[in-house]
Amino acid sequence: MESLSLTVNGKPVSAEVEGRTLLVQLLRETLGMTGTHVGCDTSQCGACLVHVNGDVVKACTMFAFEADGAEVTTIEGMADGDDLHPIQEAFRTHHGLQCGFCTPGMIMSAAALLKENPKPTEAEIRHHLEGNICRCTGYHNIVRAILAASGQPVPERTATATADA
Amino acid sequence: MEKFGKAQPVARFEDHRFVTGHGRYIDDIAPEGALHAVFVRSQVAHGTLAPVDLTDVREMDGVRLAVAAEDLDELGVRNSMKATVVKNRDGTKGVKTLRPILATGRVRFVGEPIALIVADTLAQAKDAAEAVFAEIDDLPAKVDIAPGGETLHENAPENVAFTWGKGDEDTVKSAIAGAAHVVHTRVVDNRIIVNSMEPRGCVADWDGERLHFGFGGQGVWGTRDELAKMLDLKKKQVHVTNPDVGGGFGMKGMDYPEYFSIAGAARALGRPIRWMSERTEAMLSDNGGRDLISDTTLAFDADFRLVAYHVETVCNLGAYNSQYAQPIQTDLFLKVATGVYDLRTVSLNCRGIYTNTTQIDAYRGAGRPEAIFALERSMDNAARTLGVDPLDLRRRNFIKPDQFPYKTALAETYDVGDFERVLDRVAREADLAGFAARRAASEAKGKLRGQGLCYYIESILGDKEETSAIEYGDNGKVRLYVGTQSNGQGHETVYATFLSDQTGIPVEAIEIVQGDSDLIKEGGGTGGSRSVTVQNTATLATVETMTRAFQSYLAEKTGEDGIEFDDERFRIPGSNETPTMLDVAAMARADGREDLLRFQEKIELESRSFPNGAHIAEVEIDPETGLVSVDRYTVTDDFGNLINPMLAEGQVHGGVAQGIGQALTERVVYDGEGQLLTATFMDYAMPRAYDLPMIGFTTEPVPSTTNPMGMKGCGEAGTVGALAAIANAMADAFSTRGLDAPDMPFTPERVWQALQQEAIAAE
Repeated sequence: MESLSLTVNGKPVSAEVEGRTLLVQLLRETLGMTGTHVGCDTSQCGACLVHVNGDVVKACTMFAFEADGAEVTTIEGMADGDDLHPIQEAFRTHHGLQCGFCTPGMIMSAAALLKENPKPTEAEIRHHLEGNICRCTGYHNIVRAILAASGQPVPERTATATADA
Repeated sequence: MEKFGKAQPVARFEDHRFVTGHGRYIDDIAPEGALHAVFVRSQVAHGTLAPVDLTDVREMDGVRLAVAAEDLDELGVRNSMKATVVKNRDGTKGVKTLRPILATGRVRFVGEPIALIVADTLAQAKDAAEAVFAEIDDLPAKVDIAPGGETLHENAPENVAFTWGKGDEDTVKSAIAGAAHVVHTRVVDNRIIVNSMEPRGCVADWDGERLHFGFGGQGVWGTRDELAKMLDLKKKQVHVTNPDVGGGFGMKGMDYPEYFSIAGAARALGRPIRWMSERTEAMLSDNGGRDLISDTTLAFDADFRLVAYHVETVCNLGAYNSQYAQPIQTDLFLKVATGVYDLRTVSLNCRGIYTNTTQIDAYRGAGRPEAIFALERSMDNAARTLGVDPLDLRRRNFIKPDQFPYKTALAETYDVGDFERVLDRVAREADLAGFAARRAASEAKGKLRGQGLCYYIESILGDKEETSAIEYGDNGKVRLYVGTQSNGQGHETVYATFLSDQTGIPVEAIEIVQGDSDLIKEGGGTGGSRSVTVQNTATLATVETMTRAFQSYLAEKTGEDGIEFDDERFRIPGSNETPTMLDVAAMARADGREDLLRFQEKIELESRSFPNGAHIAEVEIDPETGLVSVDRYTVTDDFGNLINPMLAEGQVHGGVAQGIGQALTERVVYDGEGQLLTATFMDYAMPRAYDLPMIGFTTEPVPSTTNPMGMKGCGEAGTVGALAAIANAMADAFSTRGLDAPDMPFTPERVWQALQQEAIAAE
């Protein structure tokens, strides 16, 4: 067993874990924070995205002990009390989710994008989301939500060119 | 329409919990201390299985139970799954296979469950599962979709499960023989893996008398009845729940063997057990979709009017009959086989084939996407072959507005429709006029551009009956109990908004209760694009009953007749009092009138409704790489009246994306030995954000006459239309090089290879 201490959403936590315990298992099973999801086990789908020391990380691909001493932010740490984070609010307003399973990862991914690139184009958003898979929305309203969260105009209901055009 | 919802794009009430990480999916709600289940699965596609010896495994750390087929009797679990079979053309029945809970004497696909291990921790259960030695004598694997090959089931010679047919073949043959034009088309509808982002999972618990079974599903009552039968329990001993579900798409609507062995294990141990499928496990064991080949013949007269249509289909069933597999490419394909055309002479044949692959069952649209893809791909091919404009060919053959209600040759009666109007609109929205310039611009860049049309129609399906109950709580809340089951569509918002519009009860006071077989007596779950139409019709009936009961009660109390309700308040003649529904319920509670605090009605739709519409796709192909990009995608739908346009549009986006995924990226590969080579997201190409364009969406509603709201259903329509739109656009693009497009999926490698024909031909 490994002892570790880290900060999760601003709160210090300590835990005893096996060496093989993954960060996502620590969050979900040990700490009971089930907003971070497991969708593929092979680092493609992005449902498990969290921020570790400010970097966006797939929590299914990192051992818990590697987060010893780190600051971790999960989807549960994005809202400020009852006030949703602007990205959360934009997903809600623009119907950027259906079943909601990929949504925590999408929001954490969008937050990382907007930190680096506050006004991304539609094409930049689509390419940034390469590591996040959604099966319900066709990404249409996810892209619109991220545009809205970045304070840019949101395309209305007309056909537009693809990201690559 | 005003009465039936204000058609507002209301943002969803359920989203707060989803965007903050407080959704409650099945793996989030396991009881404290639940044991973990892991399955030992077959690693070979076909073989003879010796009895599995689990003696040593049972001694391993943390292992509480290890079960193979031989142990199911002791567990009191029946070792056979149920499945529907179809009637053959000759009147006999399709083959019933024995589909075991745990492989019994033989394995028939990679991923088939052989043993169940239950242990204290997930790691212990996995360690024990790895230590199980299953002795399998390999048999040749049968993986192609054609009769013949190594026999899987003794009672299915040549691996043919059924030989289904409808329509008089001789009449069709003679009509084809006498036709001015005949066009043959082969339509390959590729297999997909459903891949809901949340895989399947369940939690089972036994309290000494009753079983609680929670799972990510599409309804609870069918599974309750089946659990009772399989575990020899009374129905009232089984409590089934569905929590938040991370996508289902038909795949989660069927029962699976894992559920029964886990429920039996929970009863045997008297401890809660949890199971969550991993992704590869899901790709090996979830029912897949599509996987059929249809050879079609369209016959026209000299004016290009359809005179006959024949379809010869072979479809893959996988290794066993899944729960509803046999009716999909047969009875459900039939529903809309003749599409939107006035076509009286038609025959369909379909053979179902067993293979050493995972079962195939319902996937978004179940039979209707397949039927429309076959027909609309064939119509497009006919237009190209005969030199007729594809829109014109369709217009010549549309069922005209004055022909409704229109009884199709083999199946349904369409209530209403105006296909010309929808087609006119989509042509404008897609800027057909500007296509030539866009194609020239693509050509100037060295790229190919193609445009494809699909005019689809589909039939909403599932149980025509549904129940709604309205209950006033003593906390000021009103509970609406529903028999459908959200899988992410936003039912909580739609139902609460609808009830509020009908009654004036504030939406904040309304709680939707779904997915609980103890709290709700019966229901039809989600499937077949049925939910909002059937549930709101039931709610409307319940509101009417409640309104009448409240009017009588107020009449008794006040001695006044002629009390009216105006959708918000009761108006009592000669009184300034204008009580709301909540006020009247409070009075009734004070008067001890418990009978006025709960109302329930069950309705049955008189018939189906028929969503229809047109999709126009424009693709651009880079011949250097074979990469296809969908440059424009335009949909005009006739969904009748919409309750929440924003959510309906979201259903279209998602449906189209699943269709584009099947057409462009999603390729399932089994090797000759039946090994699934595309069993992770590293190998199976789920469509990403950059694979898809923004999707243009408009509506031209013709309200349905078969339900009081005039709705038509929207959940599957996007998928139904997308396959042929993309395939026809690819055919159009390839035609600029004088070539035929390859079969779906149009992966870069396949497209590049197909384009090399041109180079070879040129040499």
